[in-house]
Amino acid sequence: MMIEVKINGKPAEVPAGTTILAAARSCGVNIPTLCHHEALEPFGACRLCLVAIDDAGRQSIVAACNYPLEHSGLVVETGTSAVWQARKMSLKLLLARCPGVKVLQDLAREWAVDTKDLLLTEDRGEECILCGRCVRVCREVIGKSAISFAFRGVERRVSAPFDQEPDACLGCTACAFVCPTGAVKVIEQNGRRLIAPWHSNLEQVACKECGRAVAPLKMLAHLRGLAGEENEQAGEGVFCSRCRRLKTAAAVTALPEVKFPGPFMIP
Amino acid sequence: MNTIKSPEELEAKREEIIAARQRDGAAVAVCCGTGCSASGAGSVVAALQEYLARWKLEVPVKTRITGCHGFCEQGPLVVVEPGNILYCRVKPEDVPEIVDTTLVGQEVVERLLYIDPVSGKPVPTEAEVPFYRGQRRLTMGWNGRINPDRIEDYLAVGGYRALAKALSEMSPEEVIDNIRESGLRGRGGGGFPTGRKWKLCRQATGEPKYLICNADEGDPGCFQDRSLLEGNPHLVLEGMSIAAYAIGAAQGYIYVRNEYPLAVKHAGMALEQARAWGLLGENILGSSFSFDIRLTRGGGAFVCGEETALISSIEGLSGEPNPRPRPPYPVDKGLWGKPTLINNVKTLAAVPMITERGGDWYQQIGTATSKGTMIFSLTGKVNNTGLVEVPMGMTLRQVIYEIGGGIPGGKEFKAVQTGGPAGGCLPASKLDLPLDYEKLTEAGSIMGSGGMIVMDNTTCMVDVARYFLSFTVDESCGKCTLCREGGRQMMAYLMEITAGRGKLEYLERLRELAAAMQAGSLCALGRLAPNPVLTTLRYFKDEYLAHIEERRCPAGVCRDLITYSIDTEACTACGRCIRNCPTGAISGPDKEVPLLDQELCIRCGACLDLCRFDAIVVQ
Repeated sequence: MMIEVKINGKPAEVPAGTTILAAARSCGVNIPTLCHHEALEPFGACRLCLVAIDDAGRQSIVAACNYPLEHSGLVVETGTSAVWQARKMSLKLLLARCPGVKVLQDLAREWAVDTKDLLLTEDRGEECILCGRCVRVCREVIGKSAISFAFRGVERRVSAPFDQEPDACLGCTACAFVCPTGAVKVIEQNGRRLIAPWHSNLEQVACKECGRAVAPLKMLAHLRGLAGEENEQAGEGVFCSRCRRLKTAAAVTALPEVKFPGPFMIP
Repeated sequence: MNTIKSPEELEAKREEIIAARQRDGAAVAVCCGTGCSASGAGSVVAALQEYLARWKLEVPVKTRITGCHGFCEQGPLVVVEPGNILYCRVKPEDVPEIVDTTLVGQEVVERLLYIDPVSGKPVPTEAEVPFYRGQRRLTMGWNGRINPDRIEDYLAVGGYRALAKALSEMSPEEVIDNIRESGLRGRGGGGFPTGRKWKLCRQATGEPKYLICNADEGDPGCFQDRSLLEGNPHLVLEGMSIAAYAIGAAQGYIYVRNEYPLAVKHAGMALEQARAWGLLGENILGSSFSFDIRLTRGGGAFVCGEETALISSIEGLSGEPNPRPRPPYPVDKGLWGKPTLINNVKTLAAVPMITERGGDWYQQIGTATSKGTMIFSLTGKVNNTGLVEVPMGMTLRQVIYEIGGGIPGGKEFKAVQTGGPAGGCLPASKLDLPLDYEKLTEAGSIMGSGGMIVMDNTTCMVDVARYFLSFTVDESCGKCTLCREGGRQMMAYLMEITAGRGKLEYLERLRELAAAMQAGSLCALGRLAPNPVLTTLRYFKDEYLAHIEERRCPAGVCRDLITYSIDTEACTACGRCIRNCPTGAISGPDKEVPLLDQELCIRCGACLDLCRFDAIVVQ
């Protein structure tokens, strides 16, 4: 079922259930986000995507990322002064929490936001903005839930259970991949992969050819499991991507030469 | 087995119980609600049972344990029937006199009666006590008359008649229309029209549907839901069954705080009894309606009272609640993604009487937009603290002065906080405001769950704002930026102001933060959290200014802004303050006015509380 919505005065038609954010982007209206990620369920935590809506006379400010459009007639304004005040305040508060984070600094420059008039602006070296992307990717995409939010309110943080090395962690580093601020640090050394904030410390499988670390054994076992292979073989016959390419190239070069008809030859 | 299979059998059973009760003759009812239990009701019951067993009276006397009467200030409360004689602050040693004088001698024990503070005269019965006189105890009234452990007691006062009526005479739509007509609105805080919520849930697609009773009462000083579940659990169960029938749910949940052990116990017992009597389970009262209820205990997070967080908690998601995006609302996608109706204890407790007596009767009580009665927890600086149930539209002044008996110690009223920690502080100029959802919201406060904290002129309003905000900041789940970080920054400004380091521009910063939190927080907790700050800024700005511009706390509360001194004229050199000062700041030779060392003084107020001659001066 298609429904009608008006975004910044422009009418648009989207399938029912589309979020305001997706609808706006589909008609070229940009709404800023931090905790949103295409691969993940909406979360609504960062409050940067706030927009004003008018639903048959009922006006409110909502997060665009997790507001599904269920019926026609909603009027959305993405740039009212009230919206910008709340958005800028969200950014300002995040910047006060994490003054050193580049993505926040860049946005703050763009929006002319600074934290001068706030009281608590001390740089505590905090890089996590609690957007929850790492927690969600681990649960929703990887299916492991190795990490989670712990504590509440200002104490809230992301942590492995009991702040100890999590059994469930595969070492896949999806958490680091989706982190918008670089707070999830991955270190590879001495044949092990460390994901610092969770205390993950995983044995890596060495490349059969060059001996370089390829990936954690646990992750390979998981992947082989997904592919229906036996776990025991997880660490066997693994090459690093470079060696694999070299081997493939060598195999290809060793093939007998094939004559292609001239006009179709790739230059 | 007592299984009741039809409305007729229910009525027959009821008559049997009432007849048996009439044979009982006299009864002594002891309130064993949490307040009275804390002041020793348990030992009064024991003394009573022991005394009655030892001295067999000619007329048999029943000892009845009842739920909270609401007048906790005067507990333990004892009511002697017949006559409804009310005795206050009863101790075990008073028991023989009560039995001998009132039950045997048919006289009242005057020294145990409530003394009207205005006339100074003793008041013999509950109905005549001013605290009760102004109330309309439609929901709470049964509490003092029944033993919450006994389903028979509930049946004796007409219990489950409304359920029988709904099942045998009304279609689910008629039940909903009746609630709609009554004008009942959510008593948990939101004030959403109950009938409309039920209708939305009935119309929602998806099976099965669930019903949740929200008993996660968390506001400081509030104990209405607790008292209802402890004192009359079957009333809540009956309301739930009617609601479940109306929306088409077969499974219900009571989400109750684990910190309410007596409520957990009584609700659990009531569930077992209702099942055994056939009032829960398959084909209730011979109808095609089947319904059961499970008890879920909350883990102590305030935000779990927020309905979407509550659902996550029941689903067994992490102890830390995660308010979900809305829409979809729980009526469409709630517990396990199914249509779910969540109502507060007080809302559900009003359902049986509305079903029995009709929505047209209920809607005559109250104001144009707020119908029926509301139960308030009247606490703070007021003479009669306790639970009061009044018709909507009664003014704050009537509740505080007529029912609450005014401010103790001859002090002056300063403010009243309604609606719990996320409510607002209203000044004396708002005392004639009628209690009504819209009127309270216009004034900057909320009805909330019915908290009402009275403050006198020894309360610092900046400190109060700081206290309430610290509560919500502490209870914020921390998920969204504005509530988590905004609350933290607001706290910092308030701390600076109460410490005497405030600047005028801080007031503007507080307003900006509050505005952003109100507009853009994820759930109601964050959106309402700035209310105490905003209302105190609106009504008590002069106090903020005194803290900032004069570095002075007018109420003498903020420690960094006050000094203690000794009035040499008033001081009798009794030495009490010297002996009790924890830091040794007060010293001096015997029989001389002591000296107070400002360097050592931590302004704890111990001397102020102890001095019998008002010789300690706070400036």
